[in-house]
Amino acid sequence: MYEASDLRKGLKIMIDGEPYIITEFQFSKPGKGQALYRCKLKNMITGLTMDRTYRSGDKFEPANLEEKRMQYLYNDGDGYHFMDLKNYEQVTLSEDQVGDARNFLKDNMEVDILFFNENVPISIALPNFVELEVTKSDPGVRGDTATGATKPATLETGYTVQVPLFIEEGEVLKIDTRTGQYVERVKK
Amino acid sequence: MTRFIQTIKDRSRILRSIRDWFFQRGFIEIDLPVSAGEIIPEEHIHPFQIAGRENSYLLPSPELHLKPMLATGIPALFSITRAFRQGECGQFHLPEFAMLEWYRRGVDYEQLITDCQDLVRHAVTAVRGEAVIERSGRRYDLSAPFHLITVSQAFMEFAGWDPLEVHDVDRFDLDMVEKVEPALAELGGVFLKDFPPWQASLAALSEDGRCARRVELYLAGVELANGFTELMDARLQARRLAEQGFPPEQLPVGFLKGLSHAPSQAAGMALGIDRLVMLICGAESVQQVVPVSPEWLC
Repeated sequence: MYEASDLRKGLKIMIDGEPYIITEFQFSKPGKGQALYRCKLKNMITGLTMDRTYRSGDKFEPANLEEKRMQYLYNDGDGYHFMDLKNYEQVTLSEDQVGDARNFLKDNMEVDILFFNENVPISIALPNFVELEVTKSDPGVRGDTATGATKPATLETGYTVQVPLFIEEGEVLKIDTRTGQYVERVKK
Repeated sequence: MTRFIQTIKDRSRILRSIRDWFFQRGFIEIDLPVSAGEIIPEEHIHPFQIAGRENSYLLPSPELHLKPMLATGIPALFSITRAFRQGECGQFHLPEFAMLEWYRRGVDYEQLITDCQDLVRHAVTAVRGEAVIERSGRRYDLSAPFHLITVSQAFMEFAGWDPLEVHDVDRFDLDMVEKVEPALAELGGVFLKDFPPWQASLAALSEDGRCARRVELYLAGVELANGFTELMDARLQARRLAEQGFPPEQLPVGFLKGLSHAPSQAAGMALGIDRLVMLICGAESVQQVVPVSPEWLC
């Protein structure tokens, strides 16, 4: 159970039976008045946001959230399919729930999936770095040696990233999934 | 020069300009202990108690020590001190913060309004070279007279009801934060005056008893200073605190005794120095303008 004074940005709480994350938070105390806790909240299932002001004495259940390690299988018209490596149960996430992570998902990759009430998938957390193969990149233009010069490269997931000119097709690159940027070439 | 060093320099200049302003007007600076053996009870202020000692507190405000000093005969006095309030952590709150208080004998809160406007302009100009501040991308020219509106007017206009007619503490706090304060942010400098008596247990009441002679300064929507024509009658003060629901054993006996020797009329105001520095430096939060943020108290 959380008290109003525990509220802060990033905290996940239950409101009317649904999980919410506090996206903005302000402590307020007008004049001689009581402490007020002003929150902008995002519904973790629907993505809708709302404003709420709470006061001392208000209590909150922590959202029943749990992360499970799962393996990415494939995607099709129904969405993105993952499998729990412990019990082989499968779960499907929609295009929206996967979001930008789709750029970095490759078959058999292990990811963390956040569940609400044990079986409602909410979101996916990738490792910070993934290794992906270059499937297409034109050779760098000879003579173009300006520092920092880059060219586009298409990776095995279909994602296009800016890379240094020396990168060639078939090489494996380390990509930062938080920024979507090239980090380094992986030595074979 | 980093922004932090610039802020610390500006803070020093602001403190100096405040002291200059008071010394130029004949005020005496009083330095005070930050602890006391009693506190003035307030429903929503939670003091820190000193561990291992009964009845000893870090003061949530210096008025307990300062107001009885008026009995010494000094006509005008001020203090820049530390104040402590448990659980107050946020963009505009630090659990230990810098507070300015000043008192004058023989005046009412109209004098505080004049003082406060002049002092704020003086401090802003000392750092910025002109009476202008900026907040959230807006520019506020403080050289024109600050707005002056009553709590009744503000609530009727921005929240649709009158707290002098309806006694609703929860609604008052909520509407103040959600409706009135955002509207005041449009106005730059605003004095909000004449609060319901249940919002000012230490203030003198108007002659008809309908409102308390309390005034608050809002600058760019941020509550900056609070003052009133002081309630100087010790017996009346004890009764007002009792009416608020504080039992006799919680009454600040020493404070009330000190009051009984003080002059019959005085006015005093408190101003949050960290918030003033934040507004002058264009910082987003008070944490950004203190040399060391007391996060171990949060």
